[in-house]
Amino acid sequence: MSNSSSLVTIVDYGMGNIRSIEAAIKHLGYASRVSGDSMMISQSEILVLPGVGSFPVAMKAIKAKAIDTGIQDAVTSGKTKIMGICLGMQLLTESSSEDGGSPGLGILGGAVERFSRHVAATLPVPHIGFNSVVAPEGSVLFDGLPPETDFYFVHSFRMATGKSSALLATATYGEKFVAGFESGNVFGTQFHPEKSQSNGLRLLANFLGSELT
Amino acid sequence: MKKRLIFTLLYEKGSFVLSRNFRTQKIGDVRWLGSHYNFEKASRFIDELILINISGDPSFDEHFRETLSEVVSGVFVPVAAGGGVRTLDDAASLFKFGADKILVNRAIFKDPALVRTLSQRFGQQAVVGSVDVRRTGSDFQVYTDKGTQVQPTDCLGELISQGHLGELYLNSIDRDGTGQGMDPGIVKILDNSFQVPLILAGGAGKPEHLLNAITLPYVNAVATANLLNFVGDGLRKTRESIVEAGVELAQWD
Repeated sequence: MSNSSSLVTIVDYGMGNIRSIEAAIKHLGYASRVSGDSMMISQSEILVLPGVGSFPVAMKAIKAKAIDTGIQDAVTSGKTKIMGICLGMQLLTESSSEDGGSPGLGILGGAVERFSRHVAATLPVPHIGFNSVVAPEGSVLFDGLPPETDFYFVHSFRMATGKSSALLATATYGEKFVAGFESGNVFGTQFHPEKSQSNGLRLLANFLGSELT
Repeated sequence: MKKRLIFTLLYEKGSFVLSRNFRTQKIGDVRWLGSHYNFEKASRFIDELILINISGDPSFDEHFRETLSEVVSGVFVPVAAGGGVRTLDDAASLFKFGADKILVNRAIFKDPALVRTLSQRFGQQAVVGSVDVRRTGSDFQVYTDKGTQVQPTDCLGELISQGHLGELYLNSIDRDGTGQGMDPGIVKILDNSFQVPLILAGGAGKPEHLLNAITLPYVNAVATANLLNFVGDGLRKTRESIVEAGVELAQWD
């Protein structure tokens, strides 16, 4: 595989299945380290922000260790690319209404809310399992994958589609929602690429190998 | 929702085992699995993996977690793990070592409060009820403790209706490891109230057994623990036959 000299920093704030992400990154030929140190995070070239659980609890843990400023410094430096996965993707947005609501890291516009009421009336929420994702044209993340690709989801909250400066990938579960985004060096997926067989490995490889813009 | 093909690895006291009507036979440890069955390659044909620790002896918990961690490092699908989950900490450590969901079995009947706590702490989607069912004529009964203790189903029904179980893994004790085909009749313990996704297990000996079960409308997923029959070409062939029959499965290269 490509550029194994790049070191990937997996941001650790105590929530999420870090082991699977570590394994996927290793499988793709990259070295990784797990860190919750703000300074180390701010100086990393490649960041992966994982997460499973409650948005406000995650933001509290992130702020308690000043990881928010570490991530913001890294992203604004222009020398770092970041990918948020599942809750990690949501944390990159401006806010979420989960559990009483909380501001996010605000790296990308947009807000996260529970699936609409009409979805919950007809379909089980959380949305769990493999679902088709429609890739946006010109996507870095989905390069080489079919226009519609199956990925594994587990979530109750989602980012609604709408005007965005980012390229948006979408999926449909009772309603259309944002399955992934990319804007410059900032990437996110609502689904778990590390749980999505070769589809997810390809997508992760695309992120890890992408050129800084 | 897409249907799922699941593989189950049974672990007992340091080794993976084959089970037949709940009598087990050692086959080898995680290294053996890799060297004899190229398990990582076989796992490319499944939607999920389940690891169950049937040691019944907490002194093997640590080795089971290490085994889980090792298996998970080469398998890029959701993984459920369980067996011997007695406390919140037991569950938390399985998540820490790579599980995305945990299975509960005995606790459903003996400690439903624990199951509630687990679903509140980790989310309903992360708690799988694993239930063993024995057929006597046209009657079905739930058993725990390796098929030795009959259990009433009221606790199970309550946990399902209260939304504490994200899905149910139903295993036929009579068909377990026999390869004679699956027994969809075991869903009768549920009084036809299919409020959670259902995984049917026990008895698959060839691809058509899994195909026959997965095409049933109330079956969301099928599972086999038959290493000898299915790891190799068996999972690939099974997946192909399910897709050919028009059942929607997730797709990848």
